[in-house]
Amino acid sequence: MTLMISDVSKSYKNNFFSLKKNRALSGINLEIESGSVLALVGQNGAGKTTLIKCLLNFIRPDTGRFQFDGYPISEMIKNGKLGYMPESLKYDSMFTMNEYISDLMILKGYSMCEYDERFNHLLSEFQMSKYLDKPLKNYSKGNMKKATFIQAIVHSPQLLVLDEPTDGLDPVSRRMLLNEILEIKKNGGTVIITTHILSDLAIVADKIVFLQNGKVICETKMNQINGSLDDWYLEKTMQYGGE
Amino acid sequence: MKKVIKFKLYAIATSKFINISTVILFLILNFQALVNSGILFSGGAEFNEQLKYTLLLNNYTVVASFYGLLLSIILGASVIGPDVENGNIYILLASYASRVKYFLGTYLAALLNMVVIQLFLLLNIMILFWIYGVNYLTRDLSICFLEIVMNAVVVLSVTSVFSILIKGYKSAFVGLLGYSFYNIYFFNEIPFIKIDFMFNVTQYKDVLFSFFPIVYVLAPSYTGSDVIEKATIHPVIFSPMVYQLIFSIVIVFVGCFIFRRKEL
Repeated sequence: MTLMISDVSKSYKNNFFSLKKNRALSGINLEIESGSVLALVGQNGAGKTTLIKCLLNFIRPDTGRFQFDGYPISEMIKNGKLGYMPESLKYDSMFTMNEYISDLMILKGYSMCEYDERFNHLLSEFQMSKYLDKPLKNYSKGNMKKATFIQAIVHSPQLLVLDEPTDGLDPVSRRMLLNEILEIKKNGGTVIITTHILSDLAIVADKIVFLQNGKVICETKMNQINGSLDDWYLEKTMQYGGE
Repeated sequence: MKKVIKFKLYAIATSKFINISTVILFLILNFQALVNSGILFSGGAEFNEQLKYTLLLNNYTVVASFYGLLLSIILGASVIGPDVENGNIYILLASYASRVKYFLGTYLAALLNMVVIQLFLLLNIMILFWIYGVNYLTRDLSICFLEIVMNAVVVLSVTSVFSILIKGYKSAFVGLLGYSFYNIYFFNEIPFIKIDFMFNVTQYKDVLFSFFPIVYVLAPSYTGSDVIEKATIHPVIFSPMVYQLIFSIVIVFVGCFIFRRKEL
């Protein structure tokens, strides 16, 4: 099974009356095999989050399409095979984590009892059991990150999309999160991850894509990078940063 | 869509803001009834059943119309806006494929919640009638109830569509603007400030009603139980309630279209 991203372009108007459009993405073509992790890196505003938003149909690309195993991504969502963790979430409801995740599972078409064992395993792994019945609005940033990660992976999705997942996590939780990504990869899942913490990518990523001004500047397998990832990133930024 | 309705109903049930507003609504109704009870019992024999009836029914229509509309505005604003503001909409739409069904589901959950609250208000006033020993006319009460609910449906629909476009609970201001507009064409004054207009706007109310169709629900008197203010509105095409229903359906369909196309 392969995730195909074909010729995706997106441009924005500065404002409603503006005639000029700014290009956010330009002719993006990517192919991701199942059982692998693709990392999207680049400077702020490079187009990483825009690409993810296009993939998940939050915004409509001007051209191009996304297909997983020959089907549109909406089919993955419909079948509850997709997991998504956004960059940030300021949840202000009285929902507890238990209620929130149970209800999301219903929305995805599952019953929570099917995944009770895995949910409890994830809770103990991320040391979240004691927060289970506390309202989400009282969670710290790190705990909120863990809760959103758990909701994204509790149903063992085939396609997992993570937007800056380790930002704000303590080192132990970060390692746990990366281990879970490795576990999903081992079970044949496809993972797309964006991050600025390059040391995380050294552990989980198979392929790394460098985006600059909405274009794919460089697409490399991790094992083809000689030296440290930081040096590689700096080199690419110096080489293409002014474009 | 059932999944979305269940999800949203639960979200509304756990919303502190909506729960507090609902409790306040019930407190106001019963507080007014309590204040009225002084009048009801001090009047002696001269204060007959007809006057008690009018007073209680008027109390109900005022509270259920005025505060019920405000509650509809809050419920309508909660349909999409708060989830967009806190970023939860991304998780929800990554969990549920159809945006149209998602919007309709959340709208219907808010609508169901509003109707249940209105039914409890109706039950509340029936209990008050029983406590004060007043025989009520079922027909009057049903008409008042239907009018109030249809008004609330219109407000809820308009506000929920604007909640797609405006983040958080801020779309409530659109509902309030519509509410002010209604006050202008019915009473020729700006609500709360009570400033009258230079010329008589109320003469155009049949036309202005087309843009924000809320009718003024007035408690009928015991003797003239058929006389209800809605009869003074003569919209161009349909009877007021049919127009309100069609208006709400059209607005919700527009909302579905907007939400389907909206970039988040």
